Amino acid sequence: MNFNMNMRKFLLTSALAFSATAAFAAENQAEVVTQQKSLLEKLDSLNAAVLGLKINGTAKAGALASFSSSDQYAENSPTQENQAFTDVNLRLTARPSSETMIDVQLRLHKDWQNAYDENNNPIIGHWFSYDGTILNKHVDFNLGYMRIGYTPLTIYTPQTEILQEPEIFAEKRREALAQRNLDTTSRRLLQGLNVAYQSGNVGPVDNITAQLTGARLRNTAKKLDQVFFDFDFADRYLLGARVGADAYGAHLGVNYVNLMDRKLTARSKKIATTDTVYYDKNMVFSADLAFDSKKILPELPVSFGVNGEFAMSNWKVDRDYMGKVPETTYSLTQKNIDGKEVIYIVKSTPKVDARINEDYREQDGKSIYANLFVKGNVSGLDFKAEAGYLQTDSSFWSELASSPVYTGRATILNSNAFYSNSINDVILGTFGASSLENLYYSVYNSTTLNANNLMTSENLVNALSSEKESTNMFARLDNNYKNGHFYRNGYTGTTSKKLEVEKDYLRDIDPSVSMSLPFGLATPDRKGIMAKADANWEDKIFFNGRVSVLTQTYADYGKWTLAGLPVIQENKYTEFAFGLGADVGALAALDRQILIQGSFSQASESAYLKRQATRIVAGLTADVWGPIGVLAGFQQYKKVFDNGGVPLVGGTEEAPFIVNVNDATERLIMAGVRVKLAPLSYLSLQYGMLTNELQYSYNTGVIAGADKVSITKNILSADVTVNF
Amino acid sequence: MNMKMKRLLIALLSASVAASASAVADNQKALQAKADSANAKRGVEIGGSIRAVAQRSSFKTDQDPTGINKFPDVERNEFVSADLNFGFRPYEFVRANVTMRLGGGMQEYFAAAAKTLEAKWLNVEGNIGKNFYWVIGDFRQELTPLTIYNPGIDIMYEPTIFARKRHMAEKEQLLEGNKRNLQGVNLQFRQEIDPMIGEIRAEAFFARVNRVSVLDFSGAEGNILPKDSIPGFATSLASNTDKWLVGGNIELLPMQKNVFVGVTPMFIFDNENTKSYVYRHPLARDAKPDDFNQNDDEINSYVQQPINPDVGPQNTLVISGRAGADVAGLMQNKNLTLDLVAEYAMSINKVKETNYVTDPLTNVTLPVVSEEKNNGSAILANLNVGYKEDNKWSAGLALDFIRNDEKWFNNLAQSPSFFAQRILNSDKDGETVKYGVNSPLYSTFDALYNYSPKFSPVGKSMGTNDDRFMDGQRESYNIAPYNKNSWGSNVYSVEQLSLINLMMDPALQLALPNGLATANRMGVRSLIKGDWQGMVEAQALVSIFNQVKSELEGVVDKVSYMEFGGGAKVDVAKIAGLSKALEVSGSYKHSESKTDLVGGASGTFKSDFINAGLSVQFLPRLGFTAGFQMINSDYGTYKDPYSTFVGADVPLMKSKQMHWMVGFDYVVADNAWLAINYGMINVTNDYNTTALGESTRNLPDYFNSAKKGDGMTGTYQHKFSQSIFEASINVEF
Repeated sequence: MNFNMNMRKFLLTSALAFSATAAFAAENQAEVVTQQKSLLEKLDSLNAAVLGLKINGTAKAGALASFSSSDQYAENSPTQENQAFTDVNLRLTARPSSETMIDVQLRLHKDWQNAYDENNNPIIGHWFSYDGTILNKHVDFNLGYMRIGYTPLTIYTPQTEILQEPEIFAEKRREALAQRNLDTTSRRLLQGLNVAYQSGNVGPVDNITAQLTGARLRNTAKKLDQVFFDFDFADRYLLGARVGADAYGAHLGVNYVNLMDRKLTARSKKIATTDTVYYDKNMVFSADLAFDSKKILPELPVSFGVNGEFAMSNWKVDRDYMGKVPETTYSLTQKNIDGKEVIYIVKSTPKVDARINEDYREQDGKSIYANLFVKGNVSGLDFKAEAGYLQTDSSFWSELASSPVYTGRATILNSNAFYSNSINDVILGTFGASSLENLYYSVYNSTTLNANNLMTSENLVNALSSEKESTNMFARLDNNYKNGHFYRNGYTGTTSKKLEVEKDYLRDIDPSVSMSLPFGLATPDRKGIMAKADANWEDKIFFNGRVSVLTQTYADYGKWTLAGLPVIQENKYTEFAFGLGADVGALAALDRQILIQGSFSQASESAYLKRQATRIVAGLTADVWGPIGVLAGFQQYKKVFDNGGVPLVGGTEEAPFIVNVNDATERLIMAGVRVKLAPLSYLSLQYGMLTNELQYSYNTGVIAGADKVSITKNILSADVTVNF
Repeated sequence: MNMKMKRLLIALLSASVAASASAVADNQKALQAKADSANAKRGVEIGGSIRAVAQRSSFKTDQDPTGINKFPDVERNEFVSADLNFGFRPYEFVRANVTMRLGGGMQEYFAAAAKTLEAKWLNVEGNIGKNFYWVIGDFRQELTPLTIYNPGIDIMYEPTIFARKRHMAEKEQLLEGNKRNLQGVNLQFRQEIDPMIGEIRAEAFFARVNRVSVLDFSGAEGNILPKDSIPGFATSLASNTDKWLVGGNIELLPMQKNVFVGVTPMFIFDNENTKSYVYRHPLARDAKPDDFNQNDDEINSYVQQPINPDVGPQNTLVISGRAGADVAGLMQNKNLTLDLVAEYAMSINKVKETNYVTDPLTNVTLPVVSEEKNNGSAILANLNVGYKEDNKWSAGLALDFIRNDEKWFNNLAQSPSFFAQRILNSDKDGETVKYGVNSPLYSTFDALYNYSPKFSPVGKSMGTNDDRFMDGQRESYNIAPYNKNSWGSNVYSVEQLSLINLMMDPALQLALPNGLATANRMGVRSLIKGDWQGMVEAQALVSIFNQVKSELEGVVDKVSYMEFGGGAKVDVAKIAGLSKALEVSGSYKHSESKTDLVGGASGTFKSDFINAGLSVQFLPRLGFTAGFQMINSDYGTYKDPYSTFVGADVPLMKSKQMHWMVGFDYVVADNAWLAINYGMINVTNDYNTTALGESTRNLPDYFNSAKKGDGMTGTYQHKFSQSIFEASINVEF
């Protein structure tokens, strides 16, 4: 599991995780450690052995006020937005036997008000699964919601990695992800069935694994006149399988992933002549190999090894549209010829409306990466260093490995604010609010459904191509009786099809996940080297370093014609980052944690938008006195677009204008106090200041110039969280 | 184990495996986390209630022989709602409480499968030691009638059969007595300093009373009058801003808690920096659904509008001080009741008004915002005098004196818990349902006792395709489910409260529609109560109030109110020494208001309310209950000129309402019963139809002004009845 929420710990990726073996504990500590572990195992088994129903969960109640100011706000724009809520997540677990467990999670959310009846504020079921370890612990299964990871090129979730991310930020990010049912691991949230077999020792083989995964990725829209954000015309399925074997510290695996749109679900509906329905199929086959010397040379304090993967992909799209096709018909015709009644057959081929299917695009691609690593523990210093090579074709595509959960570009706080001129509206509407706001803040509301938040479509046939509202919408209002739950969140668990990624030209503009690998290791068209190192000295000093140089050879900027960029150009990415943390409390032999952290990272590219992103992070997490702890964090993120800026289009279709965002400077300062009220119950008081300044140039056709938009948000929050 | 915990543990465990020197410390942390986790899971307490009603109400009138009104005569409400209360970590210093409501209907043809599952009540609470208590989330609050209070309806010796129905309707809205349901933070501190210096009680509260919320103007809920727009009043409950309540309460109870002083500052304000806007199609408030035409570019466009143009920003400071003494307590006389509490409260209400002024030079019209400060005050003095001989008799007098001036305003105390709605057979008068008391088929008893939490109304057109559905919309609501209930804990703005007061039921809310905090009232209310050996109890009530200042200067000179009445309850079983309960009760109350006009003329409204009840148990747990109620009202000649805004187009002269119900019950415990009842509501309303205007919204749609007897005579008598057959279950556990 990739706990990148807190990189000071020594971490391993999920797919290729080799568990390290015995620690080098000092002699006198060994016994204590053994006793502790035994106790922990007992507690775990005690917990697991409780049959029957358990109800646990979290309740959080509090308020968050965001005070925003900007010279660019309209005079009558609201400058404050408050969230005041009680939010309860209930987790019901039932164990019909000690081997299996049913897990149901419910979310109850109320926004405080008492001026009108809020009826039918629904309880959202946001996790349903049946999981177990059966057949003498040889088979694990998950049915329903699950988090699955194969390898970085097959099923994987690229995450944002911020070195030495202070706890005050990490906690906010976890919370935002959790609202979307996501976590910080590299596993992917799926719904379906997963079965994994582990043989255990078989002769010289340590383990043989086999895994089968089936999931539905999208569900076709059943009701078209009231559309919603997850609108799609076809069901999309995943079928994944992998086998592998471990022996002598080596691992060999074969992985297969197949994603396809089910045409029949789309074809059961009529489409309009303006509609085109695309069917996407994506298949990836990979082999992964790994070796860790620890198994065969356990006595050495240092071990070394390798891990790598080779993958081949096929991506194919065909499409349906309405066209005219000749249809042969025969009819009996009666005629009087020379006084005789003659009946004969006439053949005709009129053109009739029909659904036509044609192949649209198909690409095969390959990707390979290999990493060498060395790790160990010397004189209390835990370390791991690795370096590797990556090469991926521009035609390689692996959807389930290329969909990061971070999307950004949303306005989370003060979304009710508006600007005095349309240029700023366009910038904030398309470029979005700051990355830091998207990374760390989230809003969850239970709101009455009304004409303004119900999305309708004009009619049942061309919901795909018509943006008009339904004429029936005002006849279908709900008497203010129903509430819906709404997110403002920079994260999503939905995977993106390649065509969707290509169409959204701002998709990879925000380098928050990674500038060089915005879609993770499976990012198409990359070649180069990467290295990283992590070290931990007795949990007192922590170090992380990252460096990568990658090249994109055939970057297709066709979608960027607007920016005047060459369609094909080589782009070279250089990224480096390092982080340092120190637990001053531990260093000074105090009985409390005083953790100081900091990191610096920079990413740049040589072509395309000539972006440069620089991040500076600093933080403090300290136990002050008894139940009181202090948390603080600072982060500055600067993005420069040095090749004319990011072009955004505003105005109307008849009179468009162009705005180019040239650079963005974001800053987030947070400080807070956390008080432990009781076991697993906390009072948290926090202050945050978020600034976002965007420099831009514009040309409306009438006037051209340069300006900036600058927004400051002061955020106060107070809440109590109770775990039960 | 919760996810967070699990993550933490896994993190700690993996660290302990991979790391070395810190293994002991890490394991120690993991063990501590496990101990915390175990401590955090100390139990769950489950309680709740189940309420089920199966009800058939049949509407009948002889005045529509040709069937002009084609809507269903029969309404069936069949529903079950189960509240499950979970108390997590019930015996710890920090707790979490959750109430889930599961609702099921039996004839929701709209959405038969859509059973509701709602989050009704959520909070976390705790205490630090024995002196300090805190709660965040949903909480209930009641301080004094002038500060925080949910004024209700008092019905003297209300028959059990009806009281149960009202209990269920109020519980459906989660009401408890005169407590206001709020959402926010409440901190309470109590400390006994010394028996003589006494106990100090300090409290702070912070609640969001409304939030920036866009609501449809056409909805049955979220609107006082859907689709209507009345200058000076707010018909919608949507909010432009967040509205907050911040306040505190400090009380000191010296002299063995027999003397009492307290002060409550409260600030209720609209957070103007949150004032938000909405983008709507430019359609009139009363637009029909088919007025929306997406091919009309103007209508299809979006225009920035205020969310609720009718409400201004509120900025109200309320300060209340009070003092009291339990003289009987000081005298240490246990048989005597003698206590006096006096409260003075003032409200400083800043009102913003926007006027548009045209500059004569530039001819440009600009908004000019002026702010006015309205200072109001209220006085409430309460005296209780009484004497009792244990197990023999008791007698007492409770006296309330109030003087609230016309500018006194505190919506946390004045917003009534009862706002009369049309409930049963509402489809029959669908267009005018929203006018409540002025709807032609309204009766006080229907509004008081019935409810339907997820009612699916029928449309005007019975077709099922989209066009018929669009044509089928009513003026009072959209054709979609809504909650029919007259009870609530809503906090209204000044513009909303003024409108609600125009629609109060004079038979119930004449003198004090907003409770003891009603503005513009001065007078006395006295209640004498006597009890004889717990067998016979009797009460007598007299109250006299006057308006402090005319609300319609130049038109109305003076308005005075008077109420008197009395009642008794006799426990026959106790008198006759029967082993099973047998109780009879009855009451009579006369209410009257007199409006003296400037010209010398006057108008009087008079109303008599009679209650009679019987409750008999004839087998263990099995009993019989019966109730009778009657209200006779004479509206006199004076008509409030504002009443036409709320549907009272035609003057109502007299109204006679009768309500009876009989039934069997099976009582398991207090608040746990099964009842099967049958009853009727009969209403006769006399209208003055001599000068009919274009609009006759308070007359039924089958009224025909051209027909003799139906207006030709100058009066129209409208008679109708509702037969109600119902089975109900109420179990609180």
